[in-house]
Amino acid sequence: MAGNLRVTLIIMAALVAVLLALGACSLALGARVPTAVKIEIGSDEFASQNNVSRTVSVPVGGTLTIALGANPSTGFSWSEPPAVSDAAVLEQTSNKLLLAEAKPIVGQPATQAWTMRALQPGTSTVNMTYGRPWPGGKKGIWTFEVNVTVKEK
Amino acid sequence: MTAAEIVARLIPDRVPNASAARVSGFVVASARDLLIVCAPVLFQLAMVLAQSSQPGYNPLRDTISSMVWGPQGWLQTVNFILFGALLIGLAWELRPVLARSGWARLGGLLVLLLGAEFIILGICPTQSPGGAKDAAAVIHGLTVYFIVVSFPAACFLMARALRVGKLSAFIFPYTLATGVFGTGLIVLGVFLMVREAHWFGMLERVLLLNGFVWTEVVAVYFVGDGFLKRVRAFMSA
Repeated sequence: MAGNLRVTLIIMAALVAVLLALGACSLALGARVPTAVKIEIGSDEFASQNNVSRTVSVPVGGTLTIALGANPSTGFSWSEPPAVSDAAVLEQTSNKLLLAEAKPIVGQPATQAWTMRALQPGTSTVNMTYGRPWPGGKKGIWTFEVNVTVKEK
Repeated sequence: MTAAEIVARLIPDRVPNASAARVSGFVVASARDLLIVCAPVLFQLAMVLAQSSQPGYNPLRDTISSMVWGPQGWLQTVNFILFGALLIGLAWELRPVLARSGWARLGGLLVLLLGAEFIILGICPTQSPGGAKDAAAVIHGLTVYFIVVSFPAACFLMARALRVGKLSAFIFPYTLATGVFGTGLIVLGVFLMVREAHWFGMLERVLLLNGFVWTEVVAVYFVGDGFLKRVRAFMSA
């Protein structure tokens, strides 16, 4: 009986070791850690240059975060969702409003941030405009455009 | 010549009393047990082979199910179906152990259903890249949710009943820990689905490995032990 248990334990340990090794192989084989690319543009830059554009490259599976200065308490905000020319190449995964303090005072600057994921090789352009979103509100006082090239890693 | 006679001829003369029916019964039962014991290793091996043949496949990001649309997709399809069948076999073999309580029987039923669900994964492929979400893809998605949730539940239901034999002090806490780990991965999975979808392939593999290691341990302990006893009995009869 003790012999049976010893053999059982040896077989168990061997098969579990093979499983873990294959699991590690499965993860390592062709694994590419997604690369994160971030673009940050503050309100000061938009105040001096109303139309800003950028060009970036992101590997497939990587993320692009766009963080733009805004002042939402004045009624102005960046258009949501951003206009993406080719959604098969780039898709938006999140949108956040980042405030400097938990209880912001009126007029305090903030940051609007979007995260996008690169889906497949290709090019896509993301366009955003800053203005008051309601009918009749002032539109397009600032614009932002980013040309994104998604490359196979 | 019958299959039993062919099998009997393959067994060396030194095995005493090797009648054709006895030998064929032994071979069939042993092959079944070996396949059940090796099921998780076979699945992982086939998965590694299938993904290695797919250019551009990233296991950290891409799901296992999506491999069915690749160059060696049939391998993953067969993999799902074979593993499902062997999981049903394991649930069947565990019946005597799980008969000790109603909760454990329910856990065993969940394992049996898990096997059936893996077969469904093979029959109903996931949504093809760029393709429409058809009925098969919807069934596939729902089946994945069922598998992910019901495995930890099965662990919690069966843990007490698995306290059998010399490793009882190990099997019980290990099964509970597997269930807890699986539940934690589900919570992490919900977070990743919402925020960080590009790590989803890795999460799926870790989740699957957690289940595979448990399946391997339980299969060797309850099925492998019986296999060894059968071999000894056959050789000494």
